[in-house]
Amino acid sequence: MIIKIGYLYYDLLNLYGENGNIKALKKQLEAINIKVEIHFLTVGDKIDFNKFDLIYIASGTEENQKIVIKDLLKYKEDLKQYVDNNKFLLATGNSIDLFGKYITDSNNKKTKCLNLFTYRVKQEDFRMIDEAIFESNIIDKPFIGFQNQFSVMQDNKHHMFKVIKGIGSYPNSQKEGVLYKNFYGTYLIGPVLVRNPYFLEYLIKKLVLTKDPNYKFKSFDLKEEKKAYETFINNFYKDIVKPNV
Amino acid sequence: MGRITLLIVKPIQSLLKMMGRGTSIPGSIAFKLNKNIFKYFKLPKITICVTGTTGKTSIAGSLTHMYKQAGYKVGHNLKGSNLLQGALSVLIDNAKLNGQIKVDVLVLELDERYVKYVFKYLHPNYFIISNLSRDQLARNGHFDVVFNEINNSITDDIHLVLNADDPIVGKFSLNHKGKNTFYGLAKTKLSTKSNTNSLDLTYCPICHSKLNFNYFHYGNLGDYSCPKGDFKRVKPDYEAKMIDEVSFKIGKDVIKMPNDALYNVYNLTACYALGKITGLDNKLIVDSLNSLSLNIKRVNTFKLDNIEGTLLLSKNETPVSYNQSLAYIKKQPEAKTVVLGFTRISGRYNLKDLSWLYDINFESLNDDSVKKIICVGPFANDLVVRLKLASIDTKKIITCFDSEKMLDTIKEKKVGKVYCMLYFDTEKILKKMLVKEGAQI
Repeated sequence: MIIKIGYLYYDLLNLYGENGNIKALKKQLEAINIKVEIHFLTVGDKIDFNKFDLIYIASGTEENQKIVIKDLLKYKEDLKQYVDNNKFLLATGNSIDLFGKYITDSNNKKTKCLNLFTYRVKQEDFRMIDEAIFESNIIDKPFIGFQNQFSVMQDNKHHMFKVIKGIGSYPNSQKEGVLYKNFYGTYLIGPVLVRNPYFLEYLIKKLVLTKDPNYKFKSFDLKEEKKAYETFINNFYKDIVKPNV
Repeated sequence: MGRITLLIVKPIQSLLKMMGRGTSIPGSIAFKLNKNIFKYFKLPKITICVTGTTGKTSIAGSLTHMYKQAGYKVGHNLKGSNLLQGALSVLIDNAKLNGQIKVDVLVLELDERYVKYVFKYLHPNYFIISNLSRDQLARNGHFDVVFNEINNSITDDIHLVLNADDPIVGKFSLNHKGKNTFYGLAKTKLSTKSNTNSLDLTYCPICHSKLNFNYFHYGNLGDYSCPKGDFKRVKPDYEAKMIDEVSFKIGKDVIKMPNDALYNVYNLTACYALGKITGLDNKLIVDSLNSLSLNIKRVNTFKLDNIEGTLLLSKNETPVSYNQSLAYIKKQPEAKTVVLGFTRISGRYNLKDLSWLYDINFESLNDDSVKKIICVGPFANDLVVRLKLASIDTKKIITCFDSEKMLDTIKEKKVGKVYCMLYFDTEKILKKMLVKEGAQI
C-alpha cells in the first residue's frame, strides 16, 4: 500500500515547526510497512486532490494566509468534494480559518474563504497565546498542545474538542476544533501529531482501514513519543488530567 | 519637572552603582515620576539604536568600542537592559541636570518588542536593524507582528542602516522616505542554493510572487529577487567579500573576524557602515574593529579529568542561533558526545510550547561523528522524540531527567569530546558542578 500525503503551502504555512507532523506521519506509516509519498504543494501548482489520501495544512502569518486563500479558492469545489467523500484532511493552527465562510481582519476587512463550514473568523489586534489541554470523543487520551493566534471563531457547528485548559475557539470558550467526517481541524499549533501519539495512531489506523479494511497492522514505533506525552502530563498537568497510564 | 526628576534619580543611580546593582532601576523610577522625562533630554548628534533577532548586543558593543577608539565620549546600555527603562537609565546616567547628554555618541541596544515604546519618546539619528527571524514565538506571536510594530515606529527623520541580505529587513526600506544605507555579504564559497529550514519570508511582499534565491548564507539570509522585479536584495553600500574563512574586505579595507562564524561579518560590516556614515576615517574604523577580535572567544571550553568539553550557546526558541551552534558541532571532525537540554523553555515566561524544536535543524546531528547524545532536564523525552524524528538512532540517545546528575552521566557515557548545548539555566547547573570538582573553565 502507498499513502500519498499532500502538504499544502509548505512554504507559506509553516510558522510553528509543523513539518514535525509530516515527519511523524512518514515515520509511523513506514514503521507499519506502508510506503509514503509526500507531495510538497504551493501556490501555482496544479493540485489534483483525488490523488491524495491525506491533506495537511498548517499555520501561517495573516499576510501569508491571504496569499494562500487566493490560490486555494480555485479548489473550492474540489475540496468540498474531497471532504464529503470521507477523505482525510488535517488542518492545524489558523489554517482552519480558511475553511469557514470568511475572515475579518483587524482592520475589519473581509476575506472570503472556502465556505466548507458555517463558521466565521475575526482576527483580533491582540495575540492569544496559551498552553492547551482538550478532550475529544474520538480517543480516551486528552490532547496536549499550544495555541498562538489572532483568530477567534464563531458559529462553528462541528466541534472536535472540549476545552480543559487553554483558549479554545475564543477566550474562555468551552469548545474548540472542527471534526466533520474525516476533516480534523484545530487551533493547536505545531507538531500536534508528535505530541499526541495516541491521536496519530488513531488517525493512521483509520486512514489505512479506509483503503484496506482487512489490513493487518504491525505495531507502531511510538514508545518514545508516548513516554514524552506521559512525562509531560505527569510533570505539568497531573492535577488537571489523569494520564491514564 | 525634568530637572526635579533628575535631581531625585541621579543620586539613586550613583548609590546603586556603588552597590553594583540594577542598571534599569533608575529608569523605572524616573519613568514613574515623569512620563515626559524622555523629552527633557537633548540628545547628542550621533544617537544610534540597534535592534534585531541576533547580533544587536555585539553590534552595540562594537560600535561603543569603535567610537571610543575614535576619541568620542560614548554612552551605551549594557546587555540585559535593552528595554524602555534600560534605555532611560543610560540617558539619566549621561545627562547633566539641564537635560543635556554629555556624551558625543549614544548607542542604545533595543529589544525588538520595545522599539515601539522607546521611539514614542526618542528618535535616533541612525537605526540599525540586523535581522528578523522566528524567535520566542510564545512571546512574539510571529515575526510579522514584530516587523509591523517596528515599521510603524520608524519616522522619516531616522536614517536606517539595514542588512541587505535579510528580506524581512529589506521590507523596512519599502515605505521609508528617509535615508537608507544597506550593508551585506557577497556570495561566498559556502553559500548554498537551497535551504531546507522553514523560512520566514519567501514571497514578494508587493506582488506575492515566490522569490528567487540565488544563494543562501544561512537562515533566510541571501540574494533574493522577485521574478516580476518588485522587490529584491538591494546592492549594499557596504558589501563584505570573504578573503578566507576568518577575514573579509570592504572595498580595500581588510577586517579580521574573531572566529569563522559568518554572523561576525554582518555585525562588523554594520559597524563599518555606521563609522563611514558618521565620517570616521577608514583606517580608524578598521583598526578599531580589528582590535575587537582579541577579546572575543568563540566558545567556552572546560577540562575535567579526561573530559574535554565545549560550552556552546543554546538559545531556546531562536532557531537561527541554535542552528549555528549545531552547525559548529557538525564541523568538528572528531568523535563526540553532544549534551542538550533546558530546565525551562524561556527565562522570560512560563509557557511550555515545544513547537520551536521542529524549526531547528537537529538533522545535522545525524552524523557518524556524533557517538552519543545526552538529553538533560524535564523535557529530555521531548528532545529524544525530536532526535528520533531526525532519523537519529535512539540507541545513541541517553536521557538524564535530573540535571544534578548530568555531570555523572557525562562522565559515565561520553565518547570523544563533549559539546554542551544547554540553555543558560541548565548550563549554570553544569558550571557549578564543574567548578566544584575543580575543572578548568
